[in-house]
Amino acid sequence: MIWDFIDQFTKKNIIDEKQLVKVDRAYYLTDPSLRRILVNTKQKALHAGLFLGRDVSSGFIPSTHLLQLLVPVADKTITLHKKGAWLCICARDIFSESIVKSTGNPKKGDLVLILNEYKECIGIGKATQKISARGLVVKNLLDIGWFARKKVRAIKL
Amino acid sequence: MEKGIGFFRKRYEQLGGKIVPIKLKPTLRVNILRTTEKKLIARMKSIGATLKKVPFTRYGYEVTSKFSAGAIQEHFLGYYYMQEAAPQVAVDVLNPKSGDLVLDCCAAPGGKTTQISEWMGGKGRIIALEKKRHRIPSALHNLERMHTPNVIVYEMDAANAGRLQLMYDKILLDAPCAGNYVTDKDWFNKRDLEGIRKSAAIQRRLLAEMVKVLKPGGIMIYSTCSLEPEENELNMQWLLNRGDIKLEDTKLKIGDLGLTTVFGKKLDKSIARCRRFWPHKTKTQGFFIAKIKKK
Repeated sequence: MIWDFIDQFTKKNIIDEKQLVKVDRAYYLTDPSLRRILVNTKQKALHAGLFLGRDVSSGFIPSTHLLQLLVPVADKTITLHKKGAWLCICARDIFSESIVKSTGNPKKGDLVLILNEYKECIGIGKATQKISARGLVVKNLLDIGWFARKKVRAIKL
Repeated sequence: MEKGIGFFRKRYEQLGGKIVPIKLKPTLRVNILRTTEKKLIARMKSIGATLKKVPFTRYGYEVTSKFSAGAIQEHFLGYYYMQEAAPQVAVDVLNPKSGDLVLDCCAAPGGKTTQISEWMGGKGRIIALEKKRHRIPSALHNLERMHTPNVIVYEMDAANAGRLQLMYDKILLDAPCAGNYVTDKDWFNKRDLEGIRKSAAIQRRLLAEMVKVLKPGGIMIYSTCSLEPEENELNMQWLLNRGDIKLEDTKLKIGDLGLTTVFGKKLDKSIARCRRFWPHKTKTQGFFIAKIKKK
């Protein structure tokens, strides 16, 4: 499902498949020396390298590292000002007045990466209407504030 | 009765310490895999937080801000880990290198695991063990948050580490312990000498297993956040009596030397190479660290 997720944002190949490992439902980038330990050790690992995300019944939950990998290649992004970014990581939806820049001309139903002023990905949203419209334009699907809330929703694929 | 503040006050006085309330300042450790000290200082300044270097740590800073530094983007993006200053020295002394195979025995919630990875430049291999299932999610969250690339986590009691059939260049045994009064305001009501002795017995079991899986010439750091000699110097004496390790100088400039006389009992002189952090002197939580080399 990780590929389906990445496809929503870019057709570019951003993962080195030679290093991609799946343990249960979680994906990792695992270098060969770590992989040898995984293979040779009979114990079940709970974590195995650089975490990229996990499959869940309702979809896929990306890791923050995968979100940052998408930033330079994502087709559709919105950049928020400082206050808008703060509201986003408090799980709030995005209003047009919080957006200082957008790329890819997102339309209703498009998934967008949500960036802060430093071009760091702080979340994923779904456009509810044209970005240039007034009012609520992007629904917050997932944001990095989940590390405080300890709750995260999956991205449906 | 071997409990209560009166009992421990007398004990600490015999050991050269005293009980003084300490208010710890929030402290962080810069994640050098994700940012630099200079960039983080500037970034935090832009949002109204000031960072002041903790001199005896490598990348530790006291944080002064009107908000919680654990509740902002910079924390969620993994630019730092909120970690008290004293525990940061354990990995400094361990000094793991990029080619090492390192074992972190009691890993959750992952503060030192992520720190080991940073010191290794994200290279090499770290095996992180955690016995308590309810603590594992926090470790996994922190590994994700800090973008840590080179760790395998197993749910396992470190006392059974030999089952992995690996021999380690370096081991961090930050042992489960009785804790100390600085980090637990209710400590004197909760703890007694019997409990401390039980804790020390568990630590000895872990130490024995760790020596088995440490390569000859390998380094183990044993640390606790306890002030009790049963968990610290007396355990080091027990380990020395086995004959297969020696204690090395931590080269720390903070903390008192390890005690070589405990309640009238003379211990090996090399235990002075360990360090003991009395809160009233170091202004940190209580802490003990020993650098152990396998012969």
